[in-house]
Amino acid sequence: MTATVITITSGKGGVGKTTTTANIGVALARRGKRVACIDADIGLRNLDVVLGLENRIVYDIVDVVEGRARLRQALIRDKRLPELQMLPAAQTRDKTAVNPQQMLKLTDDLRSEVDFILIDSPAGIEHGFKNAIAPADRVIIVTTPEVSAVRDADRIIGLVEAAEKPKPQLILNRLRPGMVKRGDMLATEDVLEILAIDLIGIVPEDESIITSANRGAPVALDDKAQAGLAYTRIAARILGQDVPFAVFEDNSTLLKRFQNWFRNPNGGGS
Amino acid sequence: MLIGWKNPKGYDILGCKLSFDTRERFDVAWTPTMITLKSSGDGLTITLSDGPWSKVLAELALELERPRAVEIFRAPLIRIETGERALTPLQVEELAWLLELHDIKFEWSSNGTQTPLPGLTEPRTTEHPTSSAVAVWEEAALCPRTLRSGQTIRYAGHVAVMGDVNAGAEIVAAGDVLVWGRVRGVVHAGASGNDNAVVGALMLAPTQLRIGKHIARAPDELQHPQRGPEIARVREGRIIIEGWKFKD
Repeated sequence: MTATVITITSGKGGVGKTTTTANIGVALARRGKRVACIDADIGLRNLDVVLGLENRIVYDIVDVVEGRARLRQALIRDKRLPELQMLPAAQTRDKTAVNPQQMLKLTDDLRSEVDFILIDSPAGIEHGFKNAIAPADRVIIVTTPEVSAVRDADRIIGLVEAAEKPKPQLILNRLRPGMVKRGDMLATEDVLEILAIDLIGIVPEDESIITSANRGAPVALDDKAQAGLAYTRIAARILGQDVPFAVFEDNSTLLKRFQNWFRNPNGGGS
Repeated sequence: MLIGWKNPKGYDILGCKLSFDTRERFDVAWTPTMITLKSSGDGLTITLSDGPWSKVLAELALELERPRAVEIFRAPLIRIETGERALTPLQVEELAWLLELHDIKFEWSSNGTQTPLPGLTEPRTTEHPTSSAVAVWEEAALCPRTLRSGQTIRYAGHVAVMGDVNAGAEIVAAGDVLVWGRVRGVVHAGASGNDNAVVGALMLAPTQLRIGKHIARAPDELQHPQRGPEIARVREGRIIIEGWKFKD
């Protein structure tokens, strides 16, 4: 049994790579898969915060590649899910502290111990991106329905193809169905027409993402949140299941929220 | 940036595959046959063979795109040796354009039998079976996939793309540009100064369109692009876009 390495990247910053990595990791672990998340954003580490594991960091990825710590020592086990582990980035160094060969060796050492290795890529197309992409078996591109984010995603897809990786899959993040309906936001079809890659998930804009990230409890732990359910479906698709895409309704009006709540007290439903 | 890879037929397929490792692999695998580069004490001499002109140009273009090209072509004096070949004014223009594209200054070198100077030599009509004023190249660069943002093709001939030219991508061609797909990026046809060049696409919604010395840009207001194939050309000093009409 050897792990699948999935790199989550986007080009543009702030579209939700780290949130996506954390939540897919949680969702896969909840389904009993052994998962290791690697934060490749050296110098700007975030994954530990989103997962709520910041206070447990002793060693980081640079300590491992420079031989100051063994991989096992640096990996932090999640406080809720024993199947989930995380390798934090170093905060005091920069991207050049690690090179693509070292990333390959690192993931190869991990492959026999877990089922999935998720790599949280930094924004940009430079050294950090090349590190993150080098060991990838699969690539997931995260974009929001904004012209600038889609443009950067297009650039990244070109670079992923040039690195001779399999065709990446797309997560459309922070979709606001109400805005799409009014014609104020790019629709899923518009984004897919430009990027011409397969969709693996749509995550609606959801305030619980922000509250959960601040609390260090990823939304995928919450079965009441729309976004959490979206990540659960993405995890199922990663495992090869054919899960239909949900149609999100505009829940922004108070009345609609009440209607939804009465229809399904567990929230969302779609 | 133009990236080529050797295919079984030769070098007529110049692709849009842009990557650090592809470039390195290409650099090791490929040696030119149509041109020779020779460093001497005071500079660099580029000798062009008698082979097909498009191949000569393509090879020079590839040499200029090599990762170490900056060092090689930084020589204080660059001479171009054309041997027995007589260059047409168009060929001279293309060569000059290609080198200017890379900010390279050069001078023509005389070897006694020929003195190729811009505008002085006879056009070699035998290589071009048409008498039309429109330049005819033997070959075109074919890009078999979508050009994504940041990817660029520069080619001293025609360019054909099977796929889209996305916003942020760029094509610069000395000849015509035909896109079997949607154009949202920047396309420059006839870039060596040929106003007779055309740009055709299944859907034309470019950020900017340039033909020869003319530039047209997309309207600032968002418009729904017309569906159906279109062709852009220069008429009376302006770039105009017409629907493609099928000829009998």
